[in-house]
Parts: sequence; structure tokens; C-alpha cells
Amino acid sequence: MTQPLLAVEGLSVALRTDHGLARILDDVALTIPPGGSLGVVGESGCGKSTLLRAILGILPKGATTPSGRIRFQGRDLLAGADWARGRIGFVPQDPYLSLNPVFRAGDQILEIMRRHAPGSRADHRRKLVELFRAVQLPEPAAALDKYPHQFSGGQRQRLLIAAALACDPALLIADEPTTALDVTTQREILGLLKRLVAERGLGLLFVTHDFGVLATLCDRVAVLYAGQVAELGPTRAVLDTPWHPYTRLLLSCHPDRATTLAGIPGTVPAATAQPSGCRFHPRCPLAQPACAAAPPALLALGERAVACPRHEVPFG
Amino acid sequence: MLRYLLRRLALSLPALLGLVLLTFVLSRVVPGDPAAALAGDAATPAQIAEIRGQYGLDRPLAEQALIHLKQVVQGDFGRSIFSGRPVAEEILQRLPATLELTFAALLLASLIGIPLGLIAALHHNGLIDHLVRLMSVGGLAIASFWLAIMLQLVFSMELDILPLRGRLDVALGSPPRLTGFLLPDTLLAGRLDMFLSACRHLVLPAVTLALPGIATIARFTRSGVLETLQKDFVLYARAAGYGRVRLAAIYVLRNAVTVTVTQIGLLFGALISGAVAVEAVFDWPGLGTYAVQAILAADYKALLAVTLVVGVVYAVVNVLVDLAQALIDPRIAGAGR
Amino acid sequence: MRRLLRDPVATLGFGLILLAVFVALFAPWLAPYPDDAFDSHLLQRLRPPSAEFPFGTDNLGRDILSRVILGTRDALTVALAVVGAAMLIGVPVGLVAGWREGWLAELLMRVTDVFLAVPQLILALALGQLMAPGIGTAMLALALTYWPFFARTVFAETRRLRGALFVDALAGIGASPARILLLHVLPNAAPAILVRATIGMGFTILTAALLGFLGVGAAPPSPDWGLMVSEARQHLPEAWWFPTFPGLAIFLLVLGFNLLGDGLRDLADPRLRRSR
Repeated sequence: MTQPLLAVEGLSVALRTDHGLARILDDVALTIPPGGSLGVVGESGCGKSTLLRAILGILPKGATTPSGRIRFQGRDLLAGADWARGRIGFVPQDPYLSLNPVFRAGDQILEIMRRHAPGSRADHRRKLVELFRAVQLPEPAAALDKYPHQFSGGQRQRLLIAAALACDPALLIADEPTTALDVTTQREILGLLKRLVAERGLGLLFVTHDFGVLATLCDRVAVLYAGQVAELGPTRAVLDTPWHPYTRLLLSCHPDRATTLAGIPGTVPAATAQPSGCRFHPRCPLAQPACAAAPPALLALGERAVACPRHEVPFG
Repeated sequence: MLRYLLRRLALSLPALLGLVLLTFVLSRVVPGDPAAALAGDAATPAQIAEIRGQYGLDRPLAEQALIHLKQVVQGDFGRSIFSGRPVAEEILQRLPATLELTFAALLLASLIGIPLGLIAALHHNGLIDHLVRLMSVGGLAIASFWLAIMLQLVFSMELDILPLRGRLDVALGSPPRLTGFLLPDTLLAGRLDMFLSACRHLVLPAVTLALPGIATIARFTRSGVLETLQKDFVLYARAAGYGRVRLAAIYVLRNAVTVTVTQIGLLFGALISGAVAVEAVFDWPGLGTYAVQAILAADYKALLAVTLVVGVVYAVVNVLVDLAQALIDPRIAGAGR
Repeated sequence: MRRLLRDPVATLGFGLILLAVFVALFAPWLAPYPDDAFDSHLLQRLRPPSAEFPFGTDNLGRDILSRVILGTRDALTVALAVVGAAMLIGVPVGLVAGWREGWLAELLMRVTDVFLAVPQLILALALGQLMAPGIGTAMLALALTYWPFFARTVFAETRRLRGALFVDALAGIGASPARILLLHVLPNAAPAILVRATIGMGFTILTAALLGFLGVGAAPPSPDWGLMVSEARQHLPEAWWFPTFPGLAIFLLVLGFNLLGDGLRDLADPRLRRSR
């Protein structure tokens, strides 16, 4: 077996809050092979962003030192992620807020290249214009000297994609990169991402609550609930026959999006007060007394895995 | 950018016009008959009437106000009751001294206050942060005239390392007056000894004047940096791999100082007030000492002219501040581009 | 109040102010030589600090400690009177200008702008000199130049509150403007006014001391702190204690108001909380 591009093993992160220690991530394990793509889905508050921040090495101040391991190209990221900057490209959620308004967009990207890509400034400029062309930014040469507010939202997201690619990364991490955009622009940006990832043979970690996006972009999917992996498997299989009761409910009440769980009673538990046993049992239609007693293990079944022993029981 | 500048200038006009009106009203509520005051003690009623006609004091009040406005716009503030010289000339003579002092203080305050605020914010709630906060409140509580005297006591009288008063060593003479600002004038005259003397004379007054400025600037820089650090683009920049020092010292600071720069405009008012005290202590021949002399000599023309000139300088500084802000943050002037 | 006392820095400020108020109230009993406000003893001129005269004596042989204590009362009275008077002008102006729209509001705010177009001290000097110089004139001039700060603050608060829903609702059920302003808008603007007043106290003490120092405020022989520093100038560097202690008194009292104002501002505007 080849070495995975990214391997997350037993990752746990807690956050110190006024109400005590919040366990945001609990024993999370994921892998992405070189050139593979993984989608991470879940409601807001399930730990998606913390997972990204742990990988990128930008956990907030109140976070405890994460336990477990994150390895990128075989090397540890938790001990310090600086060596991997540039090799992991990051496309943030909100293109409006992610660029500093008082600096030229080009300069902001060139600064990243200056630190993490070989070559002179002239090389970098040349390469960046080329990238601007690749992300289909209008007037790529002039774009270098413009300020962020002179671009539209979609254009800014293209800029940020170009920034993520600027240092020739092996892995692209995208945090719901289209939620702030309108539907038409969303489709364009996703198409662009898909093409660029395929052309360049990049690994992709894509966080979203949009199942439709998953189906087109990712070959595998991980469903996160309350900081734990509920279900993991090839995208097609999971979408066609979801196993975990949570995934089933998500898909049945909202075939496209996991924004709200109107059909599921209750809410995601507060991270400071997790229920005992299976964290989903208070909301689960299949719950039994045993579910409250001990947390279920992640059962591996072929290519798929699920954290529920009753995954074959149909809803009543 | 030019259009932005003009629009901004136009905005400060109404307040300045109001100020002219206010000084006019003030000059008319001066106890006693201004014509009698002008004519002197020994004047006959006929002479007073003549002066009244000559100065337009017998015209309707609204017309007098217009005449006053016209004179002010032409830079005619009348003659000083104290010295008999035109007030405008005297003010022009002294304005550069005050401006030189104020700008030196402003520069000093920015050079110290901005890094201090940045460091405090980066060590949020740490020891340095608390010290800077205490200093920024304490710095605004010190009476500048007292600080000036204490500094004089220590550095001029006891240690004798800095001059006690004035702008320049009297023994050196003075450079030909080109700008009225001593630092450039002495350099243009090629007199390094004079330049150094002027610098040494500037130290204590500028430091005294700068202290409240340091406090204000440190405080606003600190809160600006704290606010900027919360922004998404800082998180993004960290994820994308900006260097730590560059991130804090350039990337974050430039956003943070937009707030600070606004404060510098407001600060300028405090600096001018402080200059009155500092000039009085250090015998600095600027507008502050002029104003104090005018009060003591009951020279109301001089005093009202100082008020107007300070108002104009204040307005100009605030326009400059807005301009600086537009240069720092391209979104502000974006509409005019 | 309890939340305020949880902030150690604001508590320190509050403590300093309480101390000053205590000293001011009981000044004649606290001062070792209460008559030294006016009496002079030329035989004991310029004595350095000692057990007999903890802060030393001045050029007329008066005990500086006593004069600093006696001066506390004047400093606080002046500041209170000035800030109170400025509030009496500024708050109504701000309320009316903020509540109404049209020429009156426009005019009021334009006038406010004119007063803000010149630094307060300069304007106070110009106003003050039109009347006979003295402490009364100085106070009047300070009040006449400080009200625009209140007008600005209250104007902003009133405009903000007028847009708020509950005021709309009150107007809807037919409450009169005066009633709404006094019973609903004013209490809501009170925190902002209080912060402004606290900071104004410190600011006024400084400015009044400066006027005394320049010779256009309090007149000799009154135990005014600014005046004392000014009188001390001719006796430097020999009598270092002479300007030092009155200046420290100014510093501590102003520091008290500034620290308290800082704490109050944090309470009144959680957005500016330090803990952020």
C-alpha cells in the first residue's frame, strides 16, 4: 500500500471555555491517498472547522494541545505545520473577508510565494499571472495590482484558489468555499475546482454541508457528528444507502443540504455536555438502552465504516 | 482622490464660517465701546465718532459682520492693542514655532505609541499589556505644565544636559528666516551647530507634549490590533503561511492604524492646548505664549485671531488625517478613483 | 456597581476619588495648619520636607501639605460645577437635536460643530478674557466650551435610540415627545453621559489647573494646585518639593477619574471590553 497523502489518526481537540472543557473533536481518523478526495459533512458545530484548523496548524488560542496524529506525506503536522505551508493549499470559506482590504491582492499572494515557493519575485509574478489565467480571472495581468474590493465575490474566490495553488501544493483544503456566493457562481467555482484538482493530480479535503457538491467533487465522504466520525465510505455508496441513522435522517429530510435537521428532534449537543454512550442516541429513532451505556466502535465493513451496531435495522 | 480631497475640504467650511461669526460676536460683547477703546483715553466724543465711522462701527450689525468676514478672509485681523503691529504679521511670525513643536511631538508620539500598542495587543492580558494600559491612562492624567517643570528641574537644572528654555542658543545668532521652522532653516543655512542646538532645545518641550499623545496612540493602536486580529483574513494569512513578524508588524498593523490615524486628528487639538502650557514653561516663542501674553494684556484682537488661526490649522490637520487614511485604506477614496 | 468593583483598575480609580472627596469634605480638620491657606510665615520660607512639614513649605512659609489638602476642595468644586453646568446645556441640546429633524436640529448641531472646531482650551481662553480674569470667569469659560462634548454624546445616543423599536412603540401609543425623552431616552443615554462626565471631571481639573498656572484662573493667595506650581517656578532648582506635591495631587485625582471613566466605559459598551 502506498503512503497516504494525509493521515489523521485518533485526533482529539478540546477547547477551554467559560463552561468547562469542550471536547470538539474526539478520536477522529481519516486518510486521503495521493490524488484522492475526501468530503467531510456535518451540521454546524460538529467539529468540521476545528478539524481543518488542526490540520492547518491554526487552532484558536483556547485549544488544548491536540492528541493523536496528523501526518502529511509521512511527516507529523501536529508538532508544527510551518514546514508544510505552501504544500497544502487552503481555500477559505468567505472570499469577502479572507483578503486584507488594505493591500493589493497580488501582493498578498506574492508574499506567500516569497516565503514558500522557490524563484525570484519576477518568476513569481509571471507564475501568478499564469495562475490567474488558469482560474479564469478577467485581465489576469492587471489583476495583480488591484485591491480586493475591486473584485466581485466570485472573482475573489478565484483569486484565493490561485493563492492556494501558488506554491504547487500536493493537497488542497477547501472550507465550504462557495457558501458566500450566489448559485450560478457556486457552480462555476466548483467546476473550476474540480478541473484544477484533476489536471494537477491534487489531493482534496473538502468540507461542506452540501451533499450535491460532494457527489460531484469527492470520491469518499466522512460524516461527522458531535466531533466523531459517524460514517465513512465511497460517496456514491453512502449517498445511495446511508447506514448510520444520522446520515439516513440527514439525507431523508434534506436530500441536498445538511444545513438544518428540521426532521430530527433535538439539536447537536453542546460540546461541554456530551451525552453518554453514542452521542446521537438522544435524537436517534433506533435508540435502545444499550446505546446510552457505551460508545459504539467504528465498524469497518469492506470500503465503508459506520459507528452504529444497528445500521441494518430499518426505521420503524 | 482630488475630488475626495475637495469634498472633504468643503465639509469643514461651515464650522469655520461659524467660528468667524463667533469671534465677531465675541469681539462685540467686549465690555465698553470698541471705538472708545481704539481712540484711547484722551479722545473727545468727536474723535470717537470719527473712529466709529472709519471702522464701520456705525453700520448695521449684519453689515459689520460681513465686513469682519471679508477682513478675515483677506488675512486682516487688525492691529494688536499691545504692540501696535498687525496681528496677522505677529501670528505668522510665531505659527511655525508652534507647528514645529507640535509636529515633533506628534512624530515622537507615533514612533513610541504605535509599537507600544502593538506589543501590548500581541501580549493581550499579559504583564506588558497591563503596564501599557496603566501608562495610557496615567499619561493622560499628568498636567503638562507640571511635567515640563519637573523635566526642566531634572535635565536642565540638576543634570544640566539640556537647555532650559528657548528655541536656540542666543550666542549662535539665528539663521536667515526662510520657512520659520528652525530645523530646515538651520540646515539650509548650512549651520550644523545651530541645527544641533535647535534639536537640543526641542527635546524637552517635544517630550512633554508627546506624553499624552503616546498614551492615546498606544491605546487606540492596541484596540485596533486586537480587533484586526479577530478578522478572517488574519486567520487565512496564518493558514497560508505568512511569517509571524510580518503578519503582526505590517499586515495587521496597517489595518489597525486606520483607527489610530483618526485619533491623531483629535489628538492635535489636545496637542495645541498642551502647547500653550509647554510654551509658557519653556519660553517657546510660539502661538501659545502669544495667546497668554494677549490675555494678560487684554488684547482681544490678538486672542480672537489666534482662535481663528488655530481653528483653520485644526481643520487642515483633520483634512490631512482623512487623506492619510484614504492612502492607508484604498476603500475610503475608492468612490473618487 | 458590583461589576465595576470586580475590575481592579476601576476600583483603584474609585478609591482615589473617594479619598479626594473625603479629604475635601474634612479639609480644615485634616490639614495640619488649616490657616495656611492665607497666612504667611516669612521666617520659615522654603523649608524642605521634614516631620514638621511633610511636604515642605513654600515661598511664604506656608505648609504645602496643608495647602494641597485645602486645594482639593477647590479642585473638586470647580470640576463639579463646570461639568454640571456643561451637562445642563449639552444634554438638552443633544436630546432635542437628536429627537427632532429639521432646521432646529440642524442649527443646534452646527453650533456644536463650531464650538468643536477649536481646541477647548483656546476657546476657553478667548471667552475667559472677555470678562475680568478670575476663577469665576474661568469656570464659566470652561463650562461654555465643554457642553458640546455632552451634546455630541447625547445626540448620538438619542439618534440611536430613536431608531430602536420600543421608542417607536411609545410614540405609537401617543406618549408626548417630552415624556419619551425624559423617561425613556434619557435613562438609556445615562451610561454614556456618565462616562463622558467622569472623563470630563478629570479633564476639567487639568484645564482649570492650567488656567491657574497661566495666571488666568484662580488668583493668589487661594490654594490652587496650578497656581502653586506656577509660584514655585521662581524657586527652582532649590525648592524641588514646592512644585512636586501639588503636581502629584493633580495627577492622582485626574488619574482617579480617568481610571473610573475607563472602567465605566467598559461596562457601558461591552463591545469595547478589554477581555476581548
